[in-house]
Amino acid sequence: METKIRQIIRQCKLGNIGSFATLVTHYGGRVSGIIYHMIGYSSNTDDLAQEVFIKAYRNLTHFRETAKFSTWLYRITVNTVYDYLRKQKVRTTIPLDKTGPLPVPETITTGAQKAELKQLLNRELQKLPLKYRTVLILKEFEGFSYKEIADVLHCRIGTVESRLFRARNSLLDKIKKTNWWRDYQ
Amino acid sequence: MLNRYLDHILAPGEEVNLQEHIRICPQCRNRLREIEQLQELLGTETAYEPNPFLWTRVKAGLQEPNSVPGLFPLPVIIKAWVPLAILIILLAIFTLSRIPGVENQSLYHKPQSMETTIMQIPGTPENLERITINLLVYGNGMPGKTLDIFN
Repeated sequence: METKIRQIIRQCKLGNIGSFATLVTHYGGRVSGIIYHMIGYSSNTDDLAQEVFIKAYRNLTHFRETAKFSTWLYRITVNTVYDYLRKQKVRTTIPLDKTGPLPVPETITTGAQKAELKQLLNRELQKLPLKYRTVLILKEFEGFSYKEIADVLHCRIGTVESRLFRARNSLLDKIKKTNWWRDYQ
Repeated sequence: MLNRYLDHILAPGEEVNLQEHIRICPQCRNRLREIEQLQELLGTETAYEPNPFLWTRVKAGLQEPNSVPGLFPLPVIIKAWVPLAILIILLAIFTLSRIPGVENQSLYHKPQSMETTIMQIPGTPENLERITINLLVYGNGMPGKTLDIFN
């Protein structure tokens, strides 16, 4: 697949925009997923995904073919989200339908418990410091390995471990205090 | 260590040791279970469905000017050095033109023609002659020079 990707990139560098469609189709899901989880389910996900791919195409001349395209693309994705959040000056983004107090149903079923706990989890996730949240999202939601995360974020594997450890602990400490967690046990 | 164990990045020896420790340590056992449950919750998160028209949007954005990479694009480092190189060359030309002895038509005056008139000055005992030489100088609008020689 990497060989095919490189061939497509060479064609794109020669001005063949149509070839880029293959890359957008192949990586669009993952790029959108990363953005979606990092900015907290905002409706701006599609706008940012579009911006990521436009940036990638415009900077293809700077992409060294010895590197992995996916790593480079995901790095652009993360940096684009960072820029977006900086401009928004938003540390947490909670959708309107998730800002209210957790409803307490009359009868608590296992499914309802899990759903409410997930809602709380997502809310707390958005409150994590950005560098911890990024690592957690890449690991738990996107299934990146430690090495892949380190390559995308341009840091050491030890740093990834440390941030992931703190992110998990922080989330656990928050949700363990809730009744939902106790009932979930 | 528990995180590394769950992510399967421990060395085989370390893994065995940790498993043995978890077996006898209830605190670590509980913590491990909690992290596993957290991972389970996070793992059940619904995957985001990308916009099916993402390529259409990207293509529309790329249609704008300066979106297409050049056929023979110059690396950024070369583009940055080009204006600087031009500036250095201009500076060198200007500096060299100031060095004395360097032939430069704008500073070296070559008379293109010469007009000579000789007039006798009346009333002078030695019949002095006034010789006027007009040098018409070329270049840069420099005025001519008039030399008066009394002979």
